[in-house]
Amino acid sequence: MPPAVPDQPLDGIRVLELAQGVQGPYCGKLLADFGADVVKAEPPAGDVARRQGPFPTAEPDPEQSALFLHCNTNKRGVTLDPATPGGRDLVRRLVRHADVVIESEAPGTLARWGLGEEVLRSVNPRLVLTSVTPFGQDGPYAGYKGEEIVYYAMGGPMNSTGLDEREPLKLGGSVVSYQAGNLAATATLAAVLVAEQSGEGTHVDVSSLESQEGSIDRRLAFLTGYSYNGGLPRREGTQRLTPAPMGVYPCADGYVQIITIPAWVPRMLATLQDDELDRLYADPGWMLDPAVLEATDAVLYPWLLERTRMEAMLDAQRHAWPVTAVNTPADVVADPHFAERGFLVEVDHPAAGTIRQPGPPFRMDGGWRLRRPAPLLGQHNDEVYRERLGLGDAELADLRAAHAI
Amino acid sequence: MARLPLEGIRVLDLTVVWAGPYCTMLLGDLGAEVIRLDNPYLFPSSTKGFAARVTKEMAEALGPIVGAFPDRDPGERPWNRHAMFNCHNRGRRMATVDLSKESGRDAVLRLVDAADVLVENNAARVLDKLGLGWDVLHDRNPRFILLRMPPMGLSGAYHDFVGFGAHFEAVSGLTAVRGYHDADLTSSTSVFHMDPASGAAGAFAVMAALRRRARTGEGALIELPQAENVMQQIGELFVDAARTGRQHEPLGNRHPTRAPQGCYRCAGEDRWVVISVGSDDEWAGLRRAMGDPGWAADGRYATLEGRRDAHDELDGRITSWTSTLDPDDAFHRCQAEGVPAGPVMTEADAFADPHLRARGFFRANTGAETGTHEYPAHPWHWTGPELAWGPIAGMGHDNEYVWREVAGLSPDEYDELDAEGHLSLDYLGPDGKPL
Repeated sequence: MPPAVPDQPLDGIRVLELAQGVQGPYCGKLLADFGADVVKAEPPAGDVARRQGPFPTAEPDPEQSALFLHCNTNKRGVTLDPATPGGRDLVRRLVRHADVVIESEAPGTLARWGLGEEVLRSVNPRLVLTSVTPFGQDGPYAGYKGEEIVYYAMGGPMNSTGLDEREPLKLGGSVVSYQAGNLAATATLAAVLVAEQSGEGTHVDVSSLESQEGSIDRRLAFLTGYSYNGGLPRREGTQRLTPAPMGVYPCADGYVQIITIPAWVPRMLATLQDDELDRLYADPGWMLDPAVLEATDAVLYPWLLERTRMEAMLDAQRHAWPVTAVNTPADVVADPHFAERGFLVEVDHPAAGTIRQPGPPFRMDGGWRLRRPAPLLGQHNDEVYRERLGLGDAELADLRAAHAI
Repeated sequence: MARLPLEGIRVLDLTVVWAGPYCTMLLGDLGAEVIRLDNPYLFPSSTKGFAARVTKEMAEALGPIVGAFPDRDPGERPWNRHAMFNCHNRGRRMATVDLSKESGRDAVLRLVDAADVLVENNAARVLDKLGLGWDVLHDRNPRFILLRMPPMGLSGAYHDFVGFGAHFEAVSGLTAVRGYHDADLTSSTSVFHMDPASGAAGAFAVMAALRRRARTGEGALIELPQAENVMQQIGELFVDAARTGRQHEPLGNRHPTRAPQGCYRCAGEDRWVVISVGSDDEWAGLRRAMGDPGWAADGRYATLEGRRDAHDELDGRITSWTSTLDPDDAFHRCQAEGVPAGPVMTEADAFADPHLRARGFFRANTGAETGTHEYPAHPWHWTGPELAWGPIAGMGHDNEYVWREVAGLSPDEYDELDAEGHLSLDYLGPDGKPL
């Protein structure tokens, strides 16, 4: 008989997260959301994500940062200052109870604090130590600073993203940093499996640069292509390759995304229902005929302007013509598909109140569960330090007095 | 000595384009035996190039990017030579089968008996249509793990919508927050970030299911809606939109709080450097890097708020400095003063980059029909067991191994599979003749 509430897949994995920002915390979130027991240790000033927002009002509030609330679900939060002797000692004691440590300090910082890999491994030989940094643990740029835009510029292909007559363009938000966090979670889980199978610990070295340099969003293919024939992609702009529509187009209430590869032309014609277009695209030479492009636009633009983005999407998809609405995040919140699937889930947070946040990235029996919202700063100090480390009132008072927590 | 964590795990690969293949590539790197199944009667456009048969003249006309063949020569079998496929095709076992035939489905079910995982990222309706849905696979092998990566999920109003990654990035909020801050969205060009997001999460999901199986003996159906997975990567915007109703717009190369941040023109043709200043200390660092020009002493620039208000003006000033420099020069000068910066690197720049070289990011590999070239290698480093780096096989190269040894077909059964037209090194027309 299977248990009524099946175990989550990552039950029993204990994680100490010393990381801040997006990459390391998103790695910790993925582990936590699928069952790992994650203790997030923040410096007394808090994770930098607490200062980034977006915030509900113009007044920044470290307990209201949407970035922090999103990246730190299902974790218990403690404070400690690893730069102080007391904080250092707390880290060592927490590592004794951890299978995984996630950290995002500049290479060499942990060692300077007396918390280098050898020290941590002497406390716990099977430990998986995951370091997520801008450029990795070694190499000439190891000490350099990174940022989302830097990873995309160097990791690419920013060189071929954007308009040909303008500057190269980054992706939206912090998606490149999140992706490094996701790869870090994948590598960390793989290293946990190694430790469970063999008892051997691993140091996982994730570089945000290399995570993007190895991205299958064009860069892997472009690098391989360059290696094959020396070809370099350029920013193409919005000029289309054939007369068939491709790009973002205006409609009655916003925009739609269209891509029409040659195999999809019949679907477009079935949607637009225009005799003249049927005739023009029946000519095998349509791909090279500029008159076809003009005729297409003359039908397409009015067709789109008579429809909302939702209507255009539904009409086209009925004929399997790939047209989709360009939704803002606020549009997504109100969208029937995502509502039906329950993409956003409600959670009660002690400071932020009842908020909605993204649900599972993937679903499986007993998989994703929202057990607790992101922690307040130091919310679980007593619980973790008393229960896990067995500290008493006097020791906790001493640590507070020494600003270690 | 520890082994790779997925050694002994067998993965069947029915993936297309980029998202699914990136997932199985990662599983292969971690030691799984990945068996890719191709239907020789169905050329997968946008997976292995854009047409099965490409002449040298066509390749010439397509150019080096669309026609990304070694030395721009499509060769005898162009599908085994295209960069968009070979960039992820390391280490796979390659077999063919026509899944539209009952005998093909039966043969695949024999593989399911001997395998642990199947990964697919086709339109939601495809797998059931092929008679390989979850119920069938689970009945056949209760320990089996099925990873499905439909773009919008297996349920919901849009579950059967078709399109590329760019379409689903649009419907799920990503496209609306990407673009130049001073242009409307019709200036948007397609990107495919959903694909790497799906691949990395998919590999994580498979390992999670394997860990659970080791304890419960139960297989799993994993539903990974690619949109909902990549939406995690702008999750803060959904939290914000849901509680404030704010409409988020593209910020271009700018940052919600840091300033100045941008992509600045350098000396030379289409050369650029990005610079990001997030604090007063970093602003002081940038001033030093620029040789402390007089204009930078302007009191309005002394605070983050002031720099944000004067962003356009600052962009022009910074460009007057960068435009005389090589991007690498500007990069090192900024970093030496503690300012995050980086050159916009072309693919040629990446291959020449001393850091990527020192870290061993590029490695030689050999393809059966491509010869030896350098390829981008593993996306992370670790001190664990050495990640796998297998050779690049072509379609159908491992038919005998896969069907005889793995599926356990007898010599007669194998001959029958061949006689029924399942085994091929070439893409075939309906008449069974090579295209």
